[in-house]
Amino acid sequence: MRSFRNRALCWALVSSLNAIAGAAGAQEVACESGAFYARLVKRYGETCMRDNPALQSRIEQATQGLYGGEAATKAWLEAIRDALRAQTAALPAPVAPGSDRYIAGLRKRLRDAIDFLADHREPGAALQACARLRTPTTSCPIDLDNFAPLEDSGDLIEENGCRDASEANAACRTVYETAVEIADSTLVARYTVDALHKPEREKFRAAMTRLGERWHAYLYDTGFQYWWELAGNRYLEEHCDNIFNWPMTRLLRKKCEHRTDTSGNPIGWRAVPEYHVVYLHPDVGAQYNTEEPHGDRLKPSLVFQWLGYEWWQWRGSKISKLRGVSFATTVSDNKVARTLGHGLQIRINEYAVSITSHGGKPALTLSLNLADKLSDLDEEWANRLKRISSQER
Amino acid sequence: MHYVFLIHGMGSSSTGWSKNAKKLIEDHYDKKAYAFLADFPLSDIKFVEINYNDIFDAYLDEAKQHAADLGSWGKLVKTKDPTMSGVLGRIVGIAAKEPAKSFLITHLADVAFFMATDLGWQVRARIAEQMGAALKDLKAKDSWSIIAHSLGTRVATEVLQIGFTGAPSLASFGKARFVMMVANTSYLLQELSPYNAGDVYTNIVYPARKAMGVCHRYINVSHELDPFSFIKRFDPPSTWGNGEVFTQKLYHPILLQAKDLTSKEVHSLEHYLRHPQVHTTLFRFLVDPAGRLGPTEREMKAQMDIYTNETLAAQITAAWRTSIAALRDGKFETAKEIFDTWEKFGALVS
Repeated sequence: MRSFRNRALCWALVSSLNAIAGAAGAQEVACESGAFYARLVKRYGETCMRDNPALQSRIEQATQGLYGGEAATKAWLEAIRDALRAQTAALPAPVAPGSDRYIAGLRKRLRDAIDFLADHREPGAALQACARLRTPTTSCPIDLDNFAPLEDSGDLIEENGCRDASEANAACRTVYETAVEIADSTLVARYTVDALHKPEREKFRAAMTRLGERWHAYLYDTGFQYWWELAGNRYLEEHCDNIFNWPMTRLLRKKCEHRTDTSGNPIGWRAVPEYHVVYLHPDVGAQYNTEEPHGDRLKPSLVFQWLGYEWWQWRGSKISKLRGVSFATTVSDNKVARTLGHGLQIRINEYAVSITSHGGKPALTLSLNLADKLSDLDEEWANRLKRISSQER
Repeated sequence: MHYVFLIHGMGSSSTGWSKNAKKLIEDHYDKKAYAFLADFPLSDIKFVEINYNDIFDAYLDEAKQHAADLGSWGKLVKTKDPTMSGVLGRIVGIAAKEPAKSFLITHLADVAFFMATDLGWQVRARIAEQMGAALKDLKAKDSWSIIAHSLGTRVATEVLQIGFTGAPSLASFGKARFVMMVANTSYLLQELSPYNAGDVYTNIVYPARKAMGVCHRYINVSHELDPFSFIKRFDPPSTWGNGEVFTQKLYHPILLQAKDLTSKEVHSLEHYLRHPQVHTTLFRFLVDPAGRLGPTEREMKAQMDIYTNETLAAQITAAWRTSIAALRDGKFETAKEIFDTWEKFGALVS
């Protein structure tokens, strides 16, 4: 009985191993077959890469220690360059007639990749410099796309060859094998280039998050802009050196930045403004006028800012030290004083106060949030007084 | 993995706006219909929906709130001062008017806000942020592409122009494998802009081999009856890009004809993608950057036959066809004429 069980277990084990071996064989066939491009896609896909420890190990060796500081990076770059050169020298020579130019093309790509690694010790800084130089006819010499064997190699290797295993195709298959080996080396180089770009990508992500937050703060944490103000400010930002905005830019010590190429195409991300113009801006407020009878001194008012500026500083993604001044007219339903008063509105952070003259008599108009704040304070003080007086009793 | 960003056009586009377009792509991405797809499972492609419409909505909500405050507060100020009936009163009146929910506001205001205000810069930053987040795990063998529609084509153009010339640079993710512009408004909106909006034929948004340009392929899809694509159509000159775009066959224009109508929604992304010529061009470059693979003549004919039957079965009257075709006879010199045409189109498809 025991012997039978052992034999059954043995049989099951052998069957399993055979199944695994069969599956591996099928996997190998699937990974190493098909037209050149499809073959590379499969070869570098997750499943086939998992079954290719040699290639994985090459990539791991090439990319390890990349972020180990400047000195280590330099040493690493030299090591990877030398290793790749050695591997390139060891690659088999093409054997099929007419295949030289294909293989030569692939070799050139690999050589370019190695040269790149040798020439650029600080790719992050170099990439930034390149981005600034980039124009329709000037490219950045360190683009990732210099190392894109997957994208272009199909133009170099005929897709319709080596479809069968006949003797006649033996030479063709050898060419494919050579091409795949070169593609592997280029993939390793591409991984290293990719790793070198990672810090730049992280910077990009962080910068875009901050930029988005700042634009939001600009639009909603400074004074609200009506659509005509939005349009006017966009225009002024793009013409910040014009006669209207230039003196204010200097006076407020703000930057004037709007870079374009000769056709007017924007170059790079525009910094979020640190000031804007307020014009033809109606708002509401609460006016306090001592000229009015008792009990009728505080009343609703319309505040109309004719023209003014608001400016601030950036603290991270937040608006800080928001200030503003504008010429303003206030309108309220007065009994004694004049309805209209002209003067200035002053803004400090989110609060605004207008000081206007109504026929020579001054009036104060508070933004509603400030009036709310004061009434809250009023209530708070009243409560405190109550508490104090009750304690005294 | 191949990341494909989907960038929407004008109008209300909330989260999930791309569901129908993705479903349509999935339905047609069929290796039984197109054998060349056999080696390339759709699971290797990740569609990433980009949203920015909430930026316009947030502003309109804020404007509405201010208008409501001004309107109600203004009623408490019962003055008869003549100044209030002048400039000041008129501006208060405009400001107190709440934004309507008309076609003009829900669709065309998006265009105006993007092109002429700083909301456009917030949109650009938002898109770059979403792209950066999606490409966080980009590996050496991965790639990315863009499918943009209508206003989204202009938005995508600007993000690529600014992103590739900025620092930190979008170039750190490599060039896009392809950019597919559906109902491309990038040239039209440049011409409509009140400011100098640059020149889409001389910027860096063009396809090129190796390091130049921002993508390897540029697919441009338009329709003879879509007023967002036939007015000032994107039609680059031979000098476009580095001068080799046409000689190297990196630009792929597709112009659908007036008879290619399966529904009234001639401007919708789905209507465009339904056409076999459009989705097979997309599939060619989805699976192979060089686009060498593609449908056989027989496969294409079979799909075109199905499509033609759909056009014949479409619930579209002859009168409607005449009305929409008549839009092409209008004048499109001024912004007003163009906006009027779009409004008429909006009325026809609603």
